[in-house]
Amino acid sequence: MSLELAARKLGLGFRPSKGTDVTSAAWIESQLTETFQDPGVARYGEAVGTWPDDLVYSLDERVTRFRDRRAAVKKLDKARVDNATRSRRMNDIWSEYTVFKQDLHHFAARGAYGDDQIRQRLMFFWANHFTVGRKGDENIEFLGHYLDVAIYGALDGSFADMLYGATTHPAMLSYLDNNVNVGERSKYAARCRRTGCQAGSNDNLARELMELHTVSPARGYTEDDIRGAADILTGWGYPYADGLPFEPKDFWTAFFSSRAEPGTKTVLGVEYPAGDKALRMLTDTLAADPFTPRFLSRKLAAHFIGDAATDDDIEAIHEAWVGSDGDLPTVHRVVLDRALAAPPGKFLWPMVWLFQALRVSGAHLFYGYEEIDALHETVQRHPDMIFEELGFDFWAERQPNGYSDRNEDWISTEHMDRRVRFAALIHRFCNPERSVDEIMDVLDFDAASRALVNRGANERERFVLCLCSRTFMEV
Amino acid sequence: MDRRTFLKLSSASAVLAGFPVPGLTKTLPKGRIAVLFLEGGLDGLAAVPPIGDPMLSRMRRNLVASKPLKVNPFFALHPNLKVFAQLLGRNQAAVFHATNLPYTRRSHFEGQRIAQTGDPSGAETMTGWLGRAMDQAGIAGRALTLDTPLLIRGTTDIDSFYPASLLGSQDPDGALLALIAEGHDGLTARTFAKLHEKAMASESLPRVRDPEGLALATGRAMRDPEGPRVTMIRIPEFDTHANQGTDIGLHPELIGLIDRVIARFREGLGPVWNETVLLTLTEFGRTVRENGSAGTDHGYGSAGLLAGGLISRAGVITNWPGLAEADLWEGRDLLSTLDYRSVCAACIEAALGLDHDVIADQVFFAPKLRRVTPYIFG
Repeated sequence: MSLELAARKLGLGFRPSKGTDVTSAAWIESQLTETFQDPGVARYGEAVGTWPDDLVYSLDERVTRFRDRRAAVKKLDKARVDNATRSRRMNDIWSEYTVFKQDLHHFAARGAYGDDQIRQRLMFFWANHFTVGRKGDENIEFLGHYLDVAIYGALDGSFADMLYGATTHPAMLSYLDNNVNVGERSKYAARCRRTGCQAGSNDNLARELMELHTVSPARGYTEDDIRGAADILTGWGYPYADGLPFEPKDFWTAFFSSRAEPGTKTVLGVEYPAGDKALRMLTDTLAADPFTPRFLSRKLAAHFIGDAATDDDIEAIHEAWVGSDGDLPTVHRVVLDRALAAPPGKFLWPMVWLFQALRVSGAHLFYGYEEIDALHETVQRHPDMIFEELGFDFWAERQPNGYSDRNEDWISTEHMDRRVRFAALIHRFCNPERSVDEIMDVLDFDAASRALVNRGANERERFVLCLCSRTFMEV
Repeated sequence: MDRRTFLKLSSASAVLAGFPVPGLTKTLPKGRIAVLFLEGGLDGLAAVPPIGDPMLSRMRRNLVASKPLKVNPFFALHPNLKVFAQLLGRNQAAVFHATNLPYTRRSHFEGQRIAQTGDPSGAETMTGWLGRAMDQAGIAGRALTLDTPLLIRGTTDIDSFYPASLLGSQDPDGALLALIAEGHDGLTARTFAKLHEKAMASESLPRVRDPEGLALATGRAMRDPEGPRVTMIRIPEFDTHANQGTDIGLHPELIGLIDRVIARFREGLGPVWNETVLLTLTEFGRTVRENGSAGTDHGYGSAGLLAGGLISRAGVITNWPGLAEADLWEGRDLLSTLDYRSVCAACIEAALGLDHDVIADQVFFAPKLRRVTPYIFG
């Protein structure tokens, strides 16, 4: 298979003149082992450079901004102003303190120009496996960090490490309510019983940890197991509403023993001690449980290979997992190998399709990082609005089971309508560098597909026909 | 950000389905059916509190509205269900309580899947109960959403509608869509072909996305004698694990949204309201006891709200299981004493004119499903 086709199958496609002459195998290996620079464009139409360091935010800074925004909103709530003034000031507060739009631009620039295309696809998979959706204004500041550090930053380690990092990340702890999960017999709950405040357990994260993130219901756990896991999770997460000292550095490791359920806990027959060490023991045990690689081998195959995945594919992934104790690069290598060898037929996720359309045609869609607050013009170039329109958005409110991997869930008239619209928009407003013939040459379109594309009345129609062809939409 | 803004931003969506399709539709059923899918799990004890049950206040200090609207000596409504209360007074609404689909494993995803497939066997059913009912009634469909919800998937392909809002894009050209369709096969080809039909019909469907606006627009579309017979409106975020709210807060506001959606839907339908039934659907109820974070966790039995002119007997219909410790499912949840599929079946029977036995057998794969139609539909 040509490198161009391998990149479409496993990555986001090469931009014109971005291809290399290495073999597919060498290229895949370099994707798994090298580090890459994040691209950035200052203003629409300008040359692609690197993403500026001052638009990369640490967790500490995000927490500080989050705290300051809350304080500013609180102050505004008390102010006696009319609704119009309130709404204007609220907008000002949001644009002054929040950075999620910067994160969205960062993400979009990477998708449109980043050389780390396979790593990005792996990030999409894992970010969707460990889904964290937006939860009102509570975790929006942390989602970009979650994707970059907890998921992308963990691609080179073990599944167990990624699991622990994702479980304890503030974006997740907020999303699945664990920062209000308090032990029924904790000191804090005892105090609350006297003073009338609210405190008690909440099993939302514990349930998804077992059902969606690790062993899956096939493992046959009980409500008592979930209760045990929920008790282990008590005390984790920053309960910012509690008047506790607000220390940014605590955020990813925040464990409050006063809120934790005392005593030992039992999950799936294993006993765990009290204290903050139990959670890592639990996530490690769940990661090592035979049901976890079984569940995930299938899920990886469904994502990268699709309906064509054979039992052999799943078995090969499973073997790599078990043989390496869930070392992700080892597992990924086998997944990518198998996907490369598999027959086509996997329908691309809307976001992957859009990035591929932009890259393979050599087009430019998004505003640059100096235009984050640009007013709307006649063409939509804001990544947040574009992803919303695609119906695929890592910053959206969504359910913890993430986006579907079934082809039929993405083939609706409205989804197809969006592809036609985006394809036409790219041709008209995004300056594609390649002609339709060049795209078809690069992607090795067969004679029948070419003939159909050539029935388009003009270059714009041929462009839409090409990007919405079966050859382009399925890999 | 205040809750109202938050709700507007959230991902509610609506689906219009069961449009008569030329060549496919046989005789049109007279009625209309609307499903209000409350995603996340409705707290039936908050929406329709059993104020006459002495255990209620013992099990719950909060989360039951301080001034509920009394329906009878035993049941009341959350005060945000004002319109619904008026409809009850006019014999145009009913409540089934302590009911749910026979599903007790408390997973959202499995629960939502089963609420839509209507098949609790755990089989990988690929069609929805409403989709199969539409098949039985001979009406194909069209959905008003970006994707196609499982609930209305049937053996006949259906079609989605969710207006694009993409600056710089134009409505796709019909001839071009037909060409694109030629290059595909299977579902993709059929989907592009439908898009082509839609473009050629150049119809004007609503261009709004908030639940209330969608409900109004949906009602208007269904008022048309040739319009859709089926709708599903989805309201997410009922999963109130924390800070659920008693008189005010997220869950009460969502209950108020149900009320406004019903009101707007009715307004849109106009006289056709008399031929319509709307029912809520949710994957499970919530725990009877409040959890430690002023919310409730996943439970079992909940309440189903029904409204519409097809209803002729108002009231709260239930075989009340009680709230004492020993009465609860697994010591924590309101028991379900009625398979909610019976309620869905009754609505299908009343709106689409299908025989109960056919519905039980072909739609729910449960030949022995109890018939509850006489309790509400005269």
